[in-house]
Amino acid sequence: METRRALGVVLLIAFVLAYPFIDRALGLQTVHAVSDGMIYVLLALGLNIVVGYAGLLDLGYAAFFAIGAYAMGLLNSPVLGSPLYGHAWSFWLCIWIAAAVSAMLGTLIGAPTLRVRGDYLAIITLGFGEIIPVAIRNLGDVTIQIGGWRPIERLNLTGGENGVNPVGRPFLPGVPFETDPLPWYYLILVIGALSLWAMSRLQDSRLGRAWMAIREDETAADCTGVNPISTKLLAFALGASFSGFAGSVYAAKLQAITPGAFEFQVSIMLLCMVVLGGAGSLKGVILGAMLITIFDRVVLAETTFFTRWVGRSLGVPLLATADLTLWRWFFFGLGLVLVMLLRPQGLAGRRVRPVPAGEGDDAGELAPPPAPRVEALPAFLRERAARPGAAADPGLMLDVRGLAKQFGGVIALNGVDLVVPRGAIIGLIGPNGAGKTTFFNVVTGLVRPDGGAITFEGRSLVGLRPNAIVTRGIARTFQSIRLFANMTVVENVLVGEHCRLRATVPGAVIRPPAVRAEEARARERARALLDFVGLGGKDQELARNLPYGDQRRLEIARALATEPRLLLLDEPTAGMNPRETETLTGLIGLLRRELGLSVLLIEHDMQVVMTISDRITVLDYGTRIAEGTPEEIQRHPRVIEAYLGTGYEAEPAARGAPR
Amino acid sequence: MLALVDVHTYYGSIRALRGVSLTVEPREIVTLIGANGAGKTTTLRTILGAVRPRRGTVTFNGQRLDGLATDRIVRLGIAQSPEGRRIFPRMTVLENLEMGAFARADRAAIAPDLERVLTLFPRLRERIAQKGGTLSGGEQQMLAIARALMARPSLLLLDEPSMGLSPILVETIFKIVQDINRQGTTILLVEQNARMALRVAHRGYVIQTGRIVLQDAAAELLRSDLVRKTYLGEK
Amino acid sequence: MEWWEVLVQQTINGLTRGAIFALIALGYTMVYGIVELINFAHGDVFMLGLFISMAWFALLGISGNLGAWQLVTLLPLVFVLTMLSTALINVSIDRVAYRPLRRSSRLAPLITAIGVSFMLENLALLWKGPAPIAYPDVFPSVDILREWFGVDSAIFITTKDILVVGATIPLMIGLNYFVTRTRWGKAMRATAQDRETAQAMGIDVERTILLTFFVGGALAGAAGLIQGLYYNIGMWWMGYQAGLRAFTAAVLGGIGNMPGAALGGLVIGFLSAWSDQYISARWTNAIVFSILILVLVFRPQGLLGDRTPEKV
Repeated sequence: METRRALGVVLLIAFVLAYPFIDRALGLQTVHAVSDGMIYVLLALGLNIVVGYAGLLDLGYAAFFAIGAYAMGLLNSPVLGSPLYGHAWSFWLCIWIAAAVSAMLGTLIGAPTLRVRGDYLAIITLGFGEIIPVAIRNLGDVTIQIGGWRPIERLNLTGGENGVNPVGRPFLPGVPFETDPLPWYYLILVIGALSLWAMSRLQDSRLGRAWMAIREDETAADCTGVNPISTKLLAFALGASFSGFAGSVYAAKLQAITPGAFEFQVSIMLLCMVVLGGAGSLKGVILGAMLITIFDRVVLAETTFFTRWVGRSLGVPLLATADLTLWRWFFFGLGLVLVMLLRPQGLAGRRVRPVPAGEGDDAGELAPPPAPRVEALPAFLRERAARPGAAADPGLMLDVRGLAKQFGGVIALNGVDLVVPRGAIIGLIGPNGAGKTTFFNVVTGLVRPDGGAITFEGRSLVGLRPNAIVTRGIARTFQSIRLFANMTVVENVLVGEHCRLRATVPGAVIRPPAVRAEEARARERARALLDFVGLGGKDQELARNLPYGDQRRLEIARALATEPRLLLLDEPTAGMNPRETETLTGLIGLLRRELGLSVLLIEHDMQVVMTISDRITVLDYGTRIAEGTPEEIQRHPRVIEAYLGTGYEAEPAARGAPR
Repeated sequence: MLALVDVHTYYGSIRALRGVSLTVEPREIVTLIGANGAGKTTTLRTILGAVRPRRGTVTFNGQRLDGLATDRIVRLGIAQSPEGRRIFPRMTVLENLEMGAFARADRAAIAPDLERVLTLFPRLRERIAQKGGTLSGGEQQMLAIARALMARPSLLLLDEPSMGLSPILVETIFKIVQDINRQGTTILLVEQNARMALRVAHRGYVIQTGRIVLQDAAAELLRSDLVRKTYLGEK
Repeated sequence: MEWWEVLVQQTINGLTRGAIFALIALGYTMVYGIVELINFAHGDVFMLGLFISMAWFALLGISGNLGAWQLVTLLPLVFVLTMLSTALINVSIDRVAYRPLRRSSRLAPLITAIGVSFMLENLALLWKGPAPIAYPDVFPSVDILREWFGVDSAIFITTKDILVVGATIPLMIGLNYFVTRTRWGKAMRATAQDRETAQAMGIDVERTILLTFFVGGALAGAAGLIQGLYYNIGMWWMGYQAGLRAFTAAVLGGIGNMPGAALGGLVIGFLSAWSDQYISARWTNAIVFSILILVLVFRPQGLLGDRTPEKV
């Protein structure tokens, strides 16, 4: 199998390298068109970073294409008197500047979209995609007139409607970059290959996983230590930078650029390539791009010839004069619709299997999950726990005082006090709507409090972003499990380690020894964690395909990967059968015993809470109504009243009434 | 009238109901009580067809409900006052009530029913033109129940009517519940507030982690200590 | 022209543009309110409304100025026919392209909507050709100030302006009546506010959604007809720009909020007219889209909308 694949790859590379000569031998004269097509492939790959990796639907990618092309065009052209024009190194320098300019503008365009949800984000990018060509068109002739004063008259910034022409060509001694398509072909091939290499490196790196996590569930990613702001901006910047390369070559090859080449339709054609191929898959996008280019340039024309021939043969004038190339946008649109309806993951995207039926639950009752073993506790967690924290008062991990939060007119938290001492397990209970999850959301930074103080190991948490709080040492799980469903089990845990790894973008691409060692270490730790929670051997499973109990344990493994000192568990046993519940409570106890981990847990399963907690805090309508040991709480009149109703305990009790 | 037999309902791969069986006889008030997350709302959602049970049956007056679409089930004579009230916030009290009667075939009888409902809830009559979102919690709860009554159901499902209400309001609501029952409507009452529910109900079921763990006449359950122990996790 | 005459003229222009934008924006906002989908193809339904109304006129043998009697009988007929046509088109689009994706993320139907938009535009291109098409001069244009009032002014108000206002207002009144006083209109609003509870009331949600697309499509068709009568010209690509401007209007007013859409339409109408006059028509698109971006980023609930928080 392996040798067959390797052979296939070698043959493919050989074909690609030899193509111009094959073309010349066959007299096809397609090399120019193929080179142009490759530029679009490169653009599609850049879009893939934004749409496929990071999951941000960018409908205005042609704007980056325009920026790249114009950056090269303006810097490397005599039209506006650029000093960079005319040297041997002009092109080679300007292509990097164009990429940098594209990256910067990508960041600028991405910035407003950061807090906006998916479909609005798409529209914003569309808006920019429209504004930039308009600006380019109109900045060729800028006149500002205020009253009778004309400070700026007919200033030409961009070449306007006529565009920029000529654009400086690349210079390599002995290689003529003119009308012969060969040098262009290989130039684009080299750029493309390097870009592909960089992208595949990025995909399989700390940043690549962060992108996927953001795409899957941004909030969960934030609460796992991934900074959504910087991650999204990097997606825009890096995605745009590749269009800088593509645009530069395009400008130099065409020798002229006009604003008309960067309209909305171009953005959509690129989107078609990504969607058809399978967003997120490099092979898929290349395949999609090739198919669409071939369809656009070859299939439509050939089919027109054929249809006309049929029409002439049959004497049907409608067919004889048909021009199917006029139908191209219809087919692109139809393609988008069909892909979305029939195969939304594209040709090469990850197959999304439906979640299996619930027989897994019964199976779980027959074969109980493995209990966590002390020996399996990963060493790195022990080391981390042994390290002293920055606590001023080493006794208290979490100290919350007077926490208040209101949503509109509803008081969710009414001056709540709560402490979690080091190494303690504290239960947080209360009837429906008591404010427990709101409490978690405020402590973990998802929601800003209206008042009160939150101190963790002596430092305040108020105003910090969720991912910053994770770095400080607090990890959480969610009431409804929020795993990264379409990522594998091990990838989920690796995202947990994100905030403890240091690899940067250049590091991810170049992979110096330090980065490679860090990745290896990270994978080792992930595997150790999975072993520990009882998911050993399920590394490559997609998270969404795991049975429920396994998913819960994966969430805990992911939380542990962030090396926390305080764990916030939100209804960890919800939906579990008794065996799984027992295993989980055993796990929590073990973590506290061996690592000194502090735990704050919300639970509805009263038996669990009463058994495992050192102390319990009870909330009702946002107010703390009781705090004490489990025994105290079980007999506390206000607690009974909150759960069961007023005056229940005053009912004449038939002591020991049998049932 | 209503019978659930060995119902297992799943959310994805989570088993929320593990073999729930209960019955509601005509003209009864039956209450289903239990702690949060025990499966009370899931039971109601299963009855109304919002989720389909994977095992077990739901029968209403002899007809199978499991598998039917919600709007079909509602037309058979079941109405709900949902958890959290769920009134339409930007529609007036009157419009909310009209929506309650949406599925009725006997449109001529709607006007007298409206009159009846407003007599039952005079506060709603005062606020008839106000938008639902501007009502207080108690008024919204009344509106939710009134809206359900507008469907002239034979079975009324009440999901946690006491949530978020002051004790006085809770008393008022539950008194009205008893009035409605006396006028002939069968009621299945889901509640966290065990005491109030058991005081008005004829029979009660206690549900815990998806299973019925106690069932008895309401008065018996009220006297026994078992309910408290179940709620607060004592063995 | 005096400066104030220019201002008044542009304001009248803005009003007529705004009315058309408002009709289109209502379709966007109704659909988004009920299924949370940006119906990208909606602008193209508007464009098809223009061309379909042309076809109806041709079918009925109407080409020249209509006489007074015909205005009262034939014109409303063409309105009804056009609105029915576009309503059915909109409903078909939902049935075929959007309904299967009801449970997907918000992005999948948006991509599909873009696909449908391209298909419609290309069909119009093939049907009518690439060049702008002259719309039959059916509605008589009379300079009111001069001919009816004998006022000699540089300001130009015509019977066509009356047409726009006269056609739009009843449509909006009708729409308002529909959603506030009829059973199905209220069901539509209820479904938009709380789908699950609406279902629990016995409301057939799918049918309500269909109804929404029907009404939205009808309004877009009316807008297309009015556009044709007023400007006497149609282009296959006009749906895209008009659609985006109308979407901006809907967002500005508060997406999901119907009075907001009408208000937003007027605002964008005025803004685009003033921008064309005082800045330059070349920049108007950029200005409108900048407004779109600013609203989406800083005040996504628009001027009249409510905040819908995201549940954790």
